[in-house]
Amino acid sequence: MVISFSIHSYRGGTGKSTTTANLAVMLALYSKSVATIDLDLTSPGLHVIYQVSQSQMNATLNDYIFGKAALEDTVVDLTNQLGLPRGKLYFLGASMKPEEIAKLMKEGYSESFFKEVTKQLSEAYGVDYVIFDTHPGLIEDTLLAVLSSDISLMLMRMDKQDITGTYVTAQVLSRFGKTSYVILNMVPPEMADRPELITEVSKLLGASVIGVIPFYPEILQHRSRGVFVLRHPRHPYSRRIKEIADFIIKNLRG
Amino acid sequence: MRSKVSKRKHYFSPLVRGKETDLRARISEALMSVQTDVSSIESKVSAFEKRLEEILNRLDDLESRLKKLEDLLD
Repeated sequence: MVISFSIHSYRGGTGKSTTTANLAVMLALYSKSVATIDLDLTSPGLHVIYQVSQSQMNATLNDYIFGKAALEDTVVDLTNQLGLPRGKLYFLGASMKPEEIAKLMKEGYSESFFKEVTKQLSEAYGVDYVIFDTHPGLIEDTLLAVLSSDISLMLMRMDKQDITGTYVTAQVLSRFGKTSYVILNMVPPEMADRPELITEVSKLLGASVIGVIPFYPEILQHRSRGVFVLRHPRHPYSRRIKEIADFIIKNLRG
Repeated sequence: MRSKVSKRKHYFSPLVRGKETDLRARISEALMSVQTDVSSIESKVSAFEKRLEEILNRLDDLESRLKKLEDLLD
């Protein structure tokens, strides 16, 4: 059965797209079939990490959402391009054209999109996981993605603004009875391995922490040039991402 | 064994809003009706940060004691 995830953060720059891309690849390396959808529609960036050019996409997510293109024309199969030895990885990229972004922002999209695209990806590609990389913040479209997906993953940095915003987001989501999981990213290294950190964050947000990723300057230096876990499989960052993938496979069901 | 995948092309129909559960409206309503108590949030986050700082301080203290012990043993 296919499971859909939303990866959300209150602030931009928390590493949402980087985490999405690396986690998706890691799940694929577990022989899973994974689709990633760039729902950061006003500032799409997942394609940069995957090194997919706009010309590689026969159609964009925007075309699909407006019923102008078939799913099959929108999906880019990255399995061979990224040289994945097992599993499958698919990508649905958003348009970079300002006029198309503006149209989507103005007209919005149907809430049935999330269930429908997940169902169709399961039918057409047999995917195990669909991951929505959302736009940051507490806005209607983003909350729609979070509430429409089976599982919500909130990414948080350990700075006051993000902690406060994530706390407010968790409060709003709790009004809908949504269970969320938390991944702490760019955590100061001296703090990252303290078990109290997980306890305190879980207590504050009322959500389980399923991953703690310390700040690694190498990730910044890598600067979205490809998927980090593929280039540096032995790096501690890759190990942290693997732990999160392990948790998802073993514990999370739709 | 993976089940067979469908060969037909799949389109999304954007005009089926009548069938929707109106989640969008409920989200909008929830966002508008949230009575945010900023001072309560700030005090909770500050208390959280203070607890983390205490944990780090304890760690620093432990490290410095360990260092002193190592120096003594040397």
